[in-house]
Amino acid sequence: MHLRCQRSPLLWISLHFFVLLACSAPDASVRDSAVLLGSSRGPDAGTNNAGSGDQTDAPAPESQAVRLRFVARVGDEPFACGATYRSSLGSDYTPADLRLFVQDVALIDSTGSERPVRLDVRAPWQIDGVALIDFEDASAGCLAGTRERNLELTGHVPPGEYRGIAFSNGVPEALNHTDPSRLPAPLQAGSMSWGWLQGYRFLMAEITGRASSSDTAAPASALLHLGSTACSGNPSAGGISCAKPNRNRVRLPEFDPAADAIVVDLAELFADMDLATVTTCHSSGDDCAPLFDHLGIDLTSGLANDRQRVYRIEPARASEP
Amino acid sequence: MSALQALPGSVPLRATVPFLSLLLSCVSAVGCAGSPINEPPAVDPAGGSSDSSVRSGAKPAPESAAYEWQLPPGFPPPALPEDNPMTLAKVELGRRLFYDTRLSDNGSYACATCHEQALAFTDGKARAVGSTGQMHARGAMSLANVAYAATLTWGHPYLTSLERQAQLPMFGDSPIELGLRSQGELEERLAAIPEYSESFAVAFPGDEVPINLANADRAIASFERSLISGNAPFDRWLMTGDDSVISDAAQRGFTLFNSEKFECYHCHGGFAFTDHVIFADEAFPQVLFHNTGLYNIDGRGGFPVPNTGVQSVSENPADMGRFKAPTLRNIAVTAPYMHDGSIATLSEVLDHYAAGGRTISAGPNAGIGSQSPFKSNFVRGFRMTEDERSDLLAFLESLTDREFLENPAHADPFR
Repeated sequence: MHLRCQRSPLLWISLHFFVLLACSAPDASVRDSAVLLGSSRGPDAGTNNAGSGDQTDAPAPESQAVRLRFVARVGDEPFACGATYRSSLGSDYTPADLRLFVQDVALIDSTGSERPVRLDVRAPWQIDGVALIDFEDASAGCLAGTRERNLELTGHVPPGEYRGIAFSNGVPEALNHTDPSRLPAPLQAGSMSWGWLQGYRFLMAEITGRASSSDTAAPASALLHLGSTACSGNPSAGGISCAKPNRNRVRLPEFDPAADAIVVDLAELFADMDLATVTTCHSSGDDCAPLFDHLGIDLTSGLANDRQRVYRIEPARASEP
Repeated sequence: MSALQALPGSVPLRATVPFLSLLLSCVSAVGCAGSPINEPPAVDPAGGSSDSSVRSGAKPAPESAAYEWQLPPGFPPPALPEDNPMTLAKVELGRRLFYDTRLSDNGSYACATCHEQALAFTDGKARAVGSTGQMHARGAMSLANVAYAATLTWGHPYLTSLERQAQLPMFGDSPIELGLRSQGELEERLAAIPEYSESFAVAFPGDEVPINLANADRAIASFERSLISGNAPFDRWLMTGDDSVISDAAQRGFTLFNSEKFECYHCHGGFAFTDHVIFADEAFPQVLFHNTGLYNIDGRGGFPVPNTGVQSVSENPADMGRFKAPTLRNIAVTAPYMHDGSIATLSEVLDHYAAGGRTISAGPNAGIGSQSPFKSNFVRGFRMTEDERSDLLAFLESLTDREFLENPAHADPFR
């Protein structure tokens, strides 16, 4: 999670490259990311890229800054590594990880139209087009994590009255299969890069049960690593394409960016699941069925549906960031 | 039997062409016999130096001496990524990184922990064990001639880059292997080691900040590509035609190996003794995977999860149980066998193929592998006499390349 100043030429070369790449792609989601990638003209853009002197464009005059707050809950309780929660089926568990990428962020105006949010470049959490939200702090049971957290994303939208928000958990397709060692944070190699699938984990949620599972010696646990699957191709010749993108589309119509926060509810993600056993979802297989449903993804097709229940809107609390 | 007669006409052409052309050139070349690994091929169909196999666009690194491949006769130049030409400095740096336990989070493991030179860069275990004790679902694969591997690991059609593959054991957590948490953490750790400040700068001249993950990947991949094994007794026999180099049994075994009765060569043919190869300037690289009837747990060809082979990546039902054919070079030192180490000895591997698939009579994996609908057409089963078994085993043992297993250039530099 370190964007070094010396890397900035690479960053800008990468971004320009992906703009070119994305603009020639017919896919809608790629086009969306091209809009985001190609419009880093906000006042914050480039401030982390000392040395890239050509990135001094003034913000578009009609641009308005937005700060979108995320908060993790388990039901009504605050999310905390090390805290113990009781599942809807009565077993106790503690979080082990909760991190997620957000792409294609848009605010919904009074006509119901989505207006893309141009994400600021904010190392190490955001680049143009994608942001990492990180709730774990490496304490207690979150052993694999990092101390730093990120509970917000920042960007710019045209001035206006906005009533809702939409986003997807994912990394834009134009970036998803790139070698992480060639990309800036938050896309550098680490827990969220998924070497096996040559892509990224769009969302990682893990919990550890307090009780031992009944049928094995292993402790009860549940694990969700969300990413694109059923891929084919050759990364060094034409690239990879995935039959199952596994990107959801969250649309929350009642949202005031100034007053509200976006809640990620771990209890809803693992709702109605037997957490006294071992559940392992690497984005394919039966264990994924409830998790994908709760996130709003059809497990068979890998396409978004409108069934997500993990995210909701609440008034932001003063005690929370 | 002469060496030329020993080459069957039906070996797949793509794998045979460089093998055969070099053989022909080598037979008449003085000095070729007996020291093939130290002599460049007399005639190299695609150029013998690393420069010629690097495609256009690669940034030259004039300060670093180009790596001299010293390829065995019959070995074509490996395919290289445009941005990672071989240099001696990168190979040497990669060797240090490969053996450095500081590349694991808890300091206990290096790449070499699961890839031991004496075992042809395997670990002798059925399934590998990571730095925190977690068990991998599959066994550590041999790195001999990995420069020619069309894909990496056991059954993954689009895992093609050695540079990127290095990140799997570093950062993977299902299971944890080296246990590194983040690229930044690794880079900071490497930057704090004075020796690496110099060796990265030498290996990557012109880079403003040479110590970074991409360069570590390049160096490790370069070292791995240098792990060329092609000087087994079998090779010396093939090159010299000297029937005293390997036993009569091994020579008979080679004939059986290439026979239509045993069918071995279809998947394990060519200079690398696998059909799963890629090399420079190859017009039509093939990427083949095979189901050998090792399991059939549901009567419909199922393999036990998570080891369903290519299917686990592609989610295509027809890919159930399809894995790549591993190289047979040094196979006598890489027991136990198969992706999950479920066959202890080479003799039992022959039994598996003789039966046309394995039958497991009891337990969760019970099933009749020979009846799998996904099984390769080449795994039809055969009757094998005990003499034939001995001959085949003698041939397989003649593929053990002692020079490779003991080559100080591949050994732990910290010792």
